[in-house]
Amino acid sequence: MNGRCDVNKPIKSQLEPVFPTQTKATLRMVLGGASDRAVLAAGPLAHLVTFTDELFCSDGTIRDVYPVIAVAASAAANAEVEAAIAALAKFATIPAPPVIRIERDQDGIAALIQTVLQSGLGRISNHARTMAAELVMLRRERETLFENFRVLEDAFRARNWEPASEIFAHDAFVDPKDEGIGRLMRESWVEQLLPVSSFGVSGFALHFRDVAKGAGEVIVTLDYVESGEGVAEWLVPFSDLSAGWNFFSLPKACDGSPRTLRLRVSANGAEPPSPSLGHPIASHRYAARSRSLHGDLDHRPLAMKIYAGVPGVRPTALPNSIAPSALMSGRRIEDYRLPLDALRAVADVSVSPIVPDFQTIRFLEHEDAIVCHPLPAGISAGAIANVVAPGTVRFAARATIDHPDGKPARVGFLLAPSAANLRSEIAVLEREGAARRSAYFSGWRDVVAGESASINIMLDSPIQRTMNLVVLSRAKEDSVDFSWLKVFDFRLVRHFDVEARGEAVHA
Amino acid sequence: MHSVVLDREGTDLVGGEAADLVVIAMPLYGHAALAIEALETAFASQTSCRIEVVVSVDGDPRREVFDALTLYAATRPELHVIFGPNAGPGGARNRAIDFIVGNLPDAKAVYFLDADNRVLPTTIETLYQRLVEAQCGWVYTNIDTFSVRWGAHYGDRYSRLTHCVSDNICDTGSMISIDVFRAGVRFDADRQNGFEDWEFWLSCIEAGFVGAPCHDTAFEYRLRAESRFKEANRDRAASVSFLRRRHKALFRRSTLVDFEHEECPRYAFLRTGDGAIGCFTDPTKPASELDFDEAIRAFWGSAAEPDNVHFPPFLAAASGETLKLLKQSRLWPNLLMHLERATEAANVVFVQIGNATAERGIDIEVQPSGYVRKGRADLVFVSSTIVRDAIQNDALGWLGSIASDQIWPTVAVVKVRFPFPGAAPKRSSATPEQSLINLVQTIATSPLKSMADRRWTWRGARLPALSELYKQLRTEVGGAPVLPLGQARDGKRTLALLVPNASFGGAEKVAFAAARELKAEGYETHLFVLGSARMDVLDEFDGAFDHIHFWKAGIPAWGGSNRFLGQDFIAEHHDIDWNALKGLLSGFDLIINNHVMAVHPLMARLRSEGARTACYLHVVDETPLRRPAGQPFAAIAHEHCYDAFLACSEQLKVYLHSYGVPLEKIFAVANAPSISVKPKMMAEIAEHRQQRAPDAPLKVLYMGRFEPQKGIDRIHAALQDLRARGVPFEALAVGGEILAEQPSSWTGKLKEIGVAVRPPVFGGREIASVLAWGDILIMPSRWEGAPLMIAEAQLVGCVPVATAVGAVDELVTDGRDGILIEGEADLKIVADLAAAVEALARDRGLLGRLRDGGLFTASGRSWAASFGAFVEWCDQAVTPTPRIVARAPRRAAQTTNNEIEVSAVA
Repeated sequence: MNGRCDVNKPIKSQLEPVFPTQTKATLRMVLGGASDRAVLAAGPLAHLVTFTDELFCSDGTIRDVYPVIAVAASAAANAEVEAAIAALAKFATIPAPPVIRIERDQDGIAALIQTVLQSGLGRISNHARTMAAELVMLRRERETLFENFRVLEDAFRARNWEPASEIFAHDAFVDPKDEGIGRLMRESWVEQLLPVSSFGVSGFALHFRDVAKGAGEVIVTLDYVESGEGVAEWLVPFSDLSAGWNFFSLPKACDGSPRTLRLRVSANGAEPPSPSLGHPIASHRYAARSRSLHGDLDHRPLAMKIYAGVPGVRPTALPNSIAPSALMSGRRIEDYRLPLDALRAVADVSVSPIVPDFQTIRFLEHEDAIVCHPLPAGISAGAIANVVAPGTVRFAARATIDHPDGKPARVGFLLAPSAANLRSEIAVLEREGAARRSAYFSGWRDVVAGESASINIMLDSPIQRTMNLVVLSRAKEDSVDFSWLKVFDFRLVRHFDVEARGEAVHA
Repeated sequence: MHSVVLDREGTDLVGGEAADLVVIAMPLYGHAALAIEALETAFASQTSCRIEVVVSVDGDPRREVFDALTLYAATRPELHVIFGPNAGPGGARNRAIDFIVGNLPDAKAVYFLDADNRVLPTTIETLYQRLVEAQCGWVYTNIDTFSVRWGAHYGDRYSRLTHCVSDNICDTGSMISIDVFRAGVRFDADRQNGFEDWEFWLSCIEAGFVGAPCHDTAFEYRLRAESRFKEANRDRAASVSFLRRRHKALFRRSTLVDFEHEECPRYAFLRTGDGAIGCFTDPTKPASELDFDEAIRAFWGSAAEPDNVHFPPFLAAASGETLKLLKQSRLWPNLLMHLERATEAANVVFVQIGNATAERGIDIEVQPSGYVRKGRADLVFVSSTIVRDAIQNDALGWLGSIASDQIWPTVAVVKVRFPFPGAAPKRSSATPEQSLINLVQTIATSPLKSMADRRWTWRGARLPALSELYKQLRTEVGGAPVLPLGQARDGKRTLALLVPNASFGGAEKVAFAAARELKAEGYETHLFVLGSARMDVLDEFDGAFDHIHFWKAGIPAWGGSNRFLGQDFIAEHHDIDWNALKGLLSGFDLIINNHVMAVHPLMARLRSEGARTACYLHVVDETPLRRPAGQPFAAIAHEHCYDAFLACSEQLKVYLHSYGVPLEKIFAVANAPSISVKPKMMAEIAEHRQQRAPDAPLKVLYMGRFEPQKGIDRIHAALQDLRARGVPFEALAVGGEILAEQPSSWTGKLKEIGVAVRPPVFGGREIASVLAWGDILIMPSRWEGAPLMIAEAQLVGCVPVATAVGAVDELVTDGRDGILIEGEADLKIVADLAAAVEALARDRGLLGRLRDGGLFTASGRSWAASFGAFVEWCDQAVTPTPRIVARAPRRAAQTTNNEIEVSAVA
């Protein structure tokens, strides 16, 4: 690496090639005369050479051959090579390769050619590929910058600094038969496509029928349909939402190519506030939808207003402005659930000196729930193996004591590496009150009979590899009579990168 | 999304199975500086599929291309590069396809990526999953361009009709099933073709593949200020014409109507009683059903986003019984055309059905606003536009008056009559008018109405309104309305037989016989009565047609806007309803024009669209001054428009040849009887004749019009002479004075000399009975073609005595099976006729020999034999319109799961 590169900021792709350096073993870059077949086929160029009699396919094309150099070990082959080069000239694309005569020092020159092509050229190729990847990234950025610059310039010239213009509105419509979709948001999410081009969108407003009573968060994500790239995410405590319109602002207006924006609204907590729906429309695609059927959603979009203008500025008519918790900038967001088969396979990894005469850990078939009954001493633990996907940043579930006379208990969750010894991890937790550095522990939360508690794990950064999920419970008081702790509504959110350049493994 | 793992050979595995291989094919010319960017995005795809890329370098003269690709290929085993001489974009793509089909046998799909475009990381995965789910031929996206901003929404659903008649709605940047290429579909490499992409999709459609839109992803289309697409559009007319010529079968009326029927049906039929709504274009094919709720959504969806949602442009209401009856009438497709046309003259159309035992017909009256109805309608028909206008203008009361006695919209009353067994159809308790109004009220009060003026799809509409596609179809066919019939069942060839009227004339009967023979050969037969709105029912030929069509308005029986050899003919600038004619006649495999003068100028266009055309001629007429005239001359003037001519005689064949019609084009079809006589009746007739006393008066029969052409004056004179000379005979004249040219009544004159006169008979059995009465049939015509009556007389042993005019001598051999009278002078003919009758009256042995001769001659005649050569020609020359049957790639459907499968990520 020369000095010039040293002073430049390293680019990730240069330092961390996602593909192993690999030169195509069969890249045919040497053209040889058919008369030299016996000579060349036995030499170091055997796997690099294409002979003149096999150069052209029946349709007159050449395929997967890149004649950068030609060799001739005999006069006859030389003539054949020259004829082939003349024929190649008709393609206009391929420059005439230099012809190297190798009669005298056959092995030496051939070996040299082989070395240059496979070693030197291979390195250059890899470097060129890296540069190509950077080129793509830079071109895309340049396009966006040019477009944004022009928008700013136009706005500046026109002195058009309208803080936020409403570019679309669909008012709330109260149908007396509406049940509200709060429950739907808790169990799943509600999805709404925005009926405007993404370009220039700086925020949107959602209408909530009323303020929620309990504690919890509404989770709103915005992403692009066509590319799956995330735009932003809002985690809004119920208490921050007001009845009526709530403005969700973007710190940066959407730029790049015009795309379709997709809004997903979900919630955790017992009784989430319900976003209002608007009048029904004929378009199926632009109606709000959810994974589960719901009567309120029949051909009805969410009530919403969409704004363009200076980002981060609250429209004057709206009471509040909610800034995003995270800008996704290219990441995809996926809200996922645990498969039933995995829940069914829950394993008892409890660490307790007591051996109970009943099953403390089991799966409830018709409720899709895990029972984790605490014991008077130690920790009851049910492990669900390899279910937390890389990229997961949030985990949520609800828990309750499923018996009217059940004694209170404490519930918690542990995310542990796939290869970890789970009993050992739990023993550490029992002994030290904290998990090892390689694991994530939610902390303990009290649960009483007849009430359900929401448990959330928010990770500082997405997990890097697949992990086990362990449901934990322990006694809160001396007695654990009828303390049938039931955990359900498992819900996980993961982020993963969507970048313009390749990182997928196709090698 | 599934993660990808590799086996030891480097094959991507998903769940232990090899991942599907998707190949990205990239033609490359002129984009040396951009191609690497395209490749980078291709290889950056995040997908569970295996990706290979084939670059087809199309003789690009930039050395940069070779250098860049060589360097790139050195690190990308999944990249294949084909270098070849310049072959144009189609040729370059074909090279890539051939490579893929030949060298990548496990490829499942091909995505075409232009070298100046880019894909998003999710493009390939999303499109491939959609391809698998939809089981279709290809999946396409909307288009969003960058550099120069432009966007297009290409509809929420794919329509072959739109793709054929409006514009190219799929970019080549689409995911195409490998089955398309295995079926042999390729790009057209002809550089004359500016729309090679559009042409390719048309080839796909022709091969039975259909597309499906995918709005969940996109690709990045680089648009510069000037592009090849722009260049092609400057010469759009020529390029479009190229497509039409290259894909004639796609642009046939029958094919396009089939597409319309499946994708955007023209009619919504509300069945009174159960309220079911059937949507169709071709009434002979199963209708798609809509329930009320779906209909309301479709109505308002169509108002808000007409390019995405379809609601039929015409709405009808009637009972199920009425629909059944109309289907049985064989008039239903034609009636629908009349109804469409009637909506242009009136707000609402009522149909009243009448039972008529011996005729069919359609009459239309238009009534002004305030019309007081006379009787209920069996069917109500309106355009959806009227319904929409009434709702938007708050005029439901106005429209609702159609259910009352006084009606405020203007009304067209279409009276259709035809024979049907039993009483009129059972009427539903719910009237069609009220049922229709109920539906309109329901639509008008739907909550969807309030949002109907807003488009939610943010990309601009680039496609025509689906509900207006019937108009584009009219433009494409060049006619309006367009006959709502798709391809015939079972791949039958279709015949259109055109006649100017359908009564009891010999010319019609002969033409009907032609249709009957072709129907027996497997044709779907259509009778078009052009210039008349009625027909008489001929029991002998009534079953010869699968469909019957009338069109009277705007089609004259005769006329001259130009002259050919002094003869009138109708030229294209004549004020004829060409739209109706073209809409009616477009798309048939074989058209036989039997004396419809107005159609000659259309024949060249119909023929160029793929129809085989034939002209049936029967007689050279004469003017009062004996100038040869009539249909043959207008036909000869259009000789090049016809593939074949049918003539009723060898004589006419030679006549046509003398005017320059090639002999090979002319089929002389000897006339055969237009009646059939059952063996039992034949035996009875023979027995009756044998029982006649030898000295009984000779029974002399005349059948035909009482007019000079038929020599009625000659008959009168000859019979008067025979009476005067005391020759024993009885005479019967059957016919009428149809032409009102005679100064006095021949009926009265005939009766004065003791001739019994009876009105004309038309039924086959009645004709046979009358002929069986006569010993001889006299026919001293001044001119004739090849009269059927002679053949029919011989069939039942009635001896013809006729003047040797026209092709009569091809039917009668003098002294063997009848008597011919030569000459033109009236006096001589009268004398010869009287002499012949007297000879037969006195010599019953001669009568018996001629009778036997006639029976023998008749036994050798049949229409099958007469039409044999023509039918054989048809077998070779007439090909059915290729049937486009939508198919899906044969791949097992895979279910998709939106949930993350943990087993896949672990």
